[in-house]
Amino acid sequence: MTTTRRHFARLAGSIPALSLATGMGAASAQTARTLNVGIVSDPVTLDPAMMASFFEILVQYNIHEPLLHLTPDLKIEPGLAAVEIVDPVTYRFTLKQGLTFHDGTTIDAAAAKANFDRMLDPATGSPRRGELGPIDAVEVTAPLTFVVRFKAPYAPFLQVLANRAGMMVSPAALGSLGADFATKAVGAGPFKVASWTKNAELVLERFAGYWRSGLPSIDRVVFRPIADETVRLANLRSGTLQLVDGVPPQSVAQLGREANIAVKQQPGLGFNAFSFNTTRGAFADARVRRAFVLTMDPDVIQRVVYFNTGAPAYGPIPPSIGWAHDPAFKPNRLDRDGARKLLAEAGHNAPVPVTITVTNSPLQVRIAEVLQSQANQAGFKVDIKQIDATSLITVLRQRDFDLCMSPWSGRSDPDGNMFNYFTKTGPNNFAGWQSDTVTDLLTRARSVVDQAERAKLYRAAETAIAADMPMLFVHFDATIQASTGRLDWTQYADGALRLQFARLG
Amino acid sequence: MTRYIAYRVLALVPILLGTSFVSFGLIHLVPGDPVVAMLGLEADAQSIAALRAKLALDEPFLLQYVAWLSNIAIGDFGRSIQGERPVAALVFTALVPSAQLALAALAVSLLIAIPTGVVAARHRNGPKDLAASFVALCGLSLPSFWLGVLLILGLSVHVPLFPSSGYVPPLADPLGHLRHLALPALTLGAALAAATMRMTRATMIEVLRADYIRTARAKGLPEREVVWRHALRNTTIPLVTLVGIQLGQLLGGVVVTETVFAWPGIGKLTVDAIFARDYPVVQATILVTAALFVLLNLATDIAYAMLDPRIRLS
Repeated sequence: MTTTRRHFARLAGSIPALSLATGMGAASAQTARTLNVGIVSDPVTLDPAMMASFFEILVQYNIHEPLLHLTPDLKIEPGLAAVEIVDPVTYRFTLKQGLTFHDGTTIDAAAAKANFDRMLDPATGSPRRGELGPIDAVEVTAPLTFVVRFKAPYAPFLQVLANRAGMMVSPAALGSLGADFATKAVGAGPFKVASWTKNAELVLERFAGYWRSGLPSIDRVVFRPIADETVRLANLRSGTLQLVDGVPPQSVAQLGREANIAVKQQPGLGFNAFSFNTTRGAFADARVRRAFVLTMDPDVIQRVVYFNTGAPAYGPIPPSIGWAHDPAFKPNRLDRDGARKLLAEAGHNAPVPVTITVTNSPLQVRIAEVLQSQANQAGFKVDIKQIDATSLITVLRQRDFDLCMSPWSGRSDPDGNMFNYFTKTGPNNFAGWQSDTVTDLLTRARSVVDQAERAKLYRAAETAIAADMPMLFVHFDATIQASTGRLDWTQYADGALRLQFARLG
Repeated sequence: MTRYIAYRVLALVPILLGTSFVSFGLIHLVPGDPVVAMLGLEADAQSIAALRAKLALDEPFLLQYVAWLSNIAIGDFGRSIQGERPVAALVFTALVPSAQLALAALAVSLLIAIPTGVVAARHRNGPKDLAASFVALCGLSLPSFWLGVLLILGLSVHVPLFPSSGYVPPLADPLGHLRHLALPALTLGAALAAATMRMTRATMIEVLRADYIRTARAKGLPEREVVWRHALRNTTIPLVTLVGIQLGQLLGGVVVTETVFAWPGIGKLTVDAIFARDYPVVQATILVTAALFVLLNLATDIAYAMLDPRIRLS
């Protein structure tokens, strides 16, 4: 018995000893210039070639520097490189001299080419491959100069390079870190990764070799994932956090009245929309789709669900892309009689049973409920089916739905919001919609360089889409973020934080 | 005794094999694909196929299971699908905060429950008992997400005594660690204390009726000594059972409390992994929590024998 008792005591004693022995992450020592940022969820990966989630947007530009820089009003500026458009299919890039990655590896044309080759290699499985378009070859022409040649003109290319596809990582670190690169990423951005403990903290430290001299002015950035929106805001109020993302629309008015807290909001780049299944069921008939759209009052959702943040959507081009957005474009408004008439034309005399599929997020469920109550008043019998977020993409791809939410986080070029959704073989054409007209318009818009000319093509496509309604557009969500009053920072339409420009007062 | 323990530890093997097979099957049955979940809306079919092949997800189900199992046998838990982290490190770094929170919550619970339970039993059906029972009922009925948010608003926003959320490792900053631990431990402890207090009260009432208590009183011992030394000791067996079960549940993860306080424990890790269909992480967390549960049961049985010499383990 004595031995057992001693064993037991040792066993019991080993638990706290065990916990003391693990030094998790870095200390959360507060220095004068540490910025604590509350985010909804951890990023999945820090490797820009593999990023595919919404949660990486906030973090990515702080660790990685793209070849080109996007200004708050979506203009392209030189970043790590300057670009010269030689002809519609040839781009020449000149990298800045004397730059290195976080690990000291030189940023030269060979490193850039290695990045492109990696993203374009099918074996990498990188989502960047599709975004980069019809690249023919990347050629190194001088130590700091390289040329990208296309098989066909691809107008969105520069906007794409100001995003994930343009973020250069250290080829040396890719080799030495292997699978660990996803968590330790070595890039050329304003901050380098110090430590990352999942679900606890991602700590970044100022990178002295950042190309914009004198920046950043903040020494440390700590991203803290806090899933609950109430708790995230409580942490901002208590001073634990100085900046929070994902402020819920219903909190904007209240926060705006609080001293020491600044709320920023602006229209985002994406859209919240639902895809009709045009391949089977009631919505295979365009008249039934149009009828459903006519039962919806966009202003009700704007008021009841979004508390007047953002704007009602009528098409895929958000107001933030000013050169392509048409504020007068409002093809549909509430018309219950019109809806009933269309349904009668389509041969439906009894209420048409349809199902709306949404994920179990409170916001999307509320939207589905509003749509349900409105459509039921004008000739539909709507069921709501809730699924989990991970099943959503599978449900969409298998077209296992009548009407299913398919929101998009958006891109700074209209091509990124339209080509994949509305061309006949587009990977996000969940509606299964086959329009030669729109496919042709969107393909042509890729090859035209003149912006005004492109805007005309996108608007024509938008009109054609509204006539046949493969998707039900609901809302342009606003990017809503809040900070303490003493943080000086700029909000971007894409919701990304570029903290090299932020200052703590 | 040693043989008994060895037997119980060996019995772990079939239990864990069964658990792992069932959980492996279940997670594969759930609709949704880990590669699609990871690559999101932007990936084309070719990228998805490439990643599936790289992760060997295109192999038959049984082959995947056997491959996973043989890797576990040599101590290789693999890497997570999301973020390619070593799974063993991922689980261990989540288990440490979970264990700290579990022990602290139990301590809070016992500190509240045992004195109130004893007092309630001593003054059965009196005002003190009623008050204690009422508070216990409140503790049981308050959902932890609500109590947690309430504590944050009260004790860190309005009266800034404690940090509102987050985790600090004890080695880096011992005092900060305890301050971060306070609110989540209080939230969880309050819920646990209710059950423990009811159990203490019921057992105590029974014990106080026993013959040896009458004997103790008859030989002139002061009431304080009768209750706290003779009676309380005899209530420990059911209490140990309860605490053993509670500890197992706490280590299995307390997702809601972890979410409210941004506590990086095993519960949130498991739930996130299930949502992402991150098979290797789900498998490992289930395996580890199942093993812990079985070992805690064994520890409880050993504790019986230590607390009550009449109990023999065989």
